Amino acid sequence: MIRFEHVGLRYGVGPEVLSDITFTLEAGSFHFLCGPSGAGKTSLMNLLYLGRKPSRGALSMFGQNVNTLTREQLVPIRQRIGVIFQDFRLLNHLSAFDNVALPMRINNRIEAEVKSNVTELMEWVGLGDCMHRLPATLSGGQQQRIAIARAVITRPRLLLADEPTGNLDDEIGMKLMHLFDQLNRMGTTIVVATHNLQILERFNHPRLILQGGGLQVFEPQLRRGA
Amino acid sequence: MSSLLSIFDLSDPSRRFDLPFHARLGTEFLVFLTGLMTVLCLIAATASLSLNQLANRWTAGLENTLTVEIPASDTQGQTALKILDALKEAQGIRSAKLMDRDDMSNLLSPWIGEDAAGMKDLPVPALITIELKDRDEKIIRGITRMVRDVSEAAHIDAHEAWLTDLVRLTNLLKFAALLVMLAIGLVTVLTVAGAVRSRMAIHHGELELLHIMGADDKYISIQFQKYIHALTGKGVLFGFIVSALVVGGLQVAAITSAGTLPALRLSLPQFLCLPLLAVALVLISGWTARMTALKVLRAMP
Repeated sequence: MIRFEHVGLRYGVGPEVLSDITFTLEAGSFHFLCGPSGAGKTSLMNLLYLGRKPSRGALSMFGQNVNTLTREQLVPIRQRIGVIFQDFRLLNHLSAFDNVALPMRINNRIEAEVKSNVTELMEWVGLGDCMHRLPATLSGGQQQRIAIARAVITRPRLLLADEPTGNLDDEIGMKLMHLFDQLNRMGTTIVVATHNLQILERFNHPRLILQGGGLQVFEPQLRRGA
Repeated sequence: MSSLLSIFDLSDPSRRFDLPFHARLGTEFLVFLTGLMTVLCLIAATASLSLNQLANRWTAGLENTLTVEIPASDTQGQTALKILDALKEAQGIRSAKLMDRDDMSNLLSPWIGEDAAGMKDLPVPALITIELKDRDEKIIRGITRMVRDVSEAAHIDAHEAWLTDLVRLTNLLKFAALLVMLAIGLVTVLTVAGAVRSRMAIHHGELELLHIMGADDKYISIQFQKYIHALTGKGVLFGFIVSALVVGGLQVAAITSAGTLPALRLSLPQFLCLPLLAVALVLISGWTARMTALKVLRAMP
């Protein structure tokens, strides 16, 4: 579903922050993206959610070569990707409901469907009574759940989460990972960038390890539940 | 009315915009600027539209008339009556009239006063006013020939110089008004483009987020267009009210000032042009916002 072939990324005329990255993500897979700070996790996530195009190499997503697509042609690909940012990136002037509804409205869904789906999802993430509150009035954990609801409201085929547990206590972090597991079982391909060792050990998914701008794929021997 | 005005309401942040346009970040001056531009534009347009009527008023009765002037030195020999007789044979004339002593006295009274007796000693020329059926150069040439046959000294004034100058002045003023309106349009376009660019720079993070969520350039640019419509719509509405008061005030002043000021009377189609012009200013602003947003977005990844 997603294929990186000898991909490199540089910002402007600076040195490459990612070099010769080659890996494949199959549909329905679950990967952790790990590596020390500054290894390029955020840059790789940027490439995955098409915030940037590679400086070199070939990047293929959903069967299309991203390098050759125009800006307009990237739009439907972006609509198949959900992103959860470490800092949530909620729109603070919109209510929790409107934040979650945004991807559906961007997709021109009818308002009745928006209302029904958003209400259902917000109740599912336990924020049914906070729908009309502004993000600034909610706790970090609640904001995180809004960010997750926003990312999954359109049932994306690829879900990217950048340090999703970074602002959460362990218990909520674990609950969040179980939520991702559930979504993965429903067919969503998931990539979670994290350096939380507890989570890496608890959830035994393959790891994409970034170091010094390069990437290695590590397949754990013992699968969870094996 | 309140629902109509609600389209200008930016205070409810969640109503229509994904971007925080309700935040006061320096682009609100557009309301004042478009209001001012609307006042200037509508006054220029009113002046331009009024000029035709003003010129018509000034030239009324002159288009189809000729004046034959017989010098004072030639008035003793019945020359004027001979010319009148000759003109009876001419074609294309509706009427020809020799101005009598009272008419002359009325004409000269602003200079010599109301005392007609004072005219006796003045070398006043005799004047014949000819009303034509149509202003035709061939007819005018024929009349000139007839008059010259009777008196070489008689002078025929077809008022051409006056009419030509007036038409030239009118066209010049209309052109100036058009230039003013074009300048106003250009200033509005440049200002709106600058405001949109500034707002896009401020909201760069939000724009990037919308792109990541799959918003295309059209979706985002429409938001800027709506925002600018709301701002400029408010300004244009206020500007329209102010200019209506100014034009109305000038019209009332013209009516009550016994003819010293030109009357600003517009026909219904001309009057309808004014709100259309105001609406055009809003639409041009919105279109500029959209084009600017699209151009800036194209530079994003």
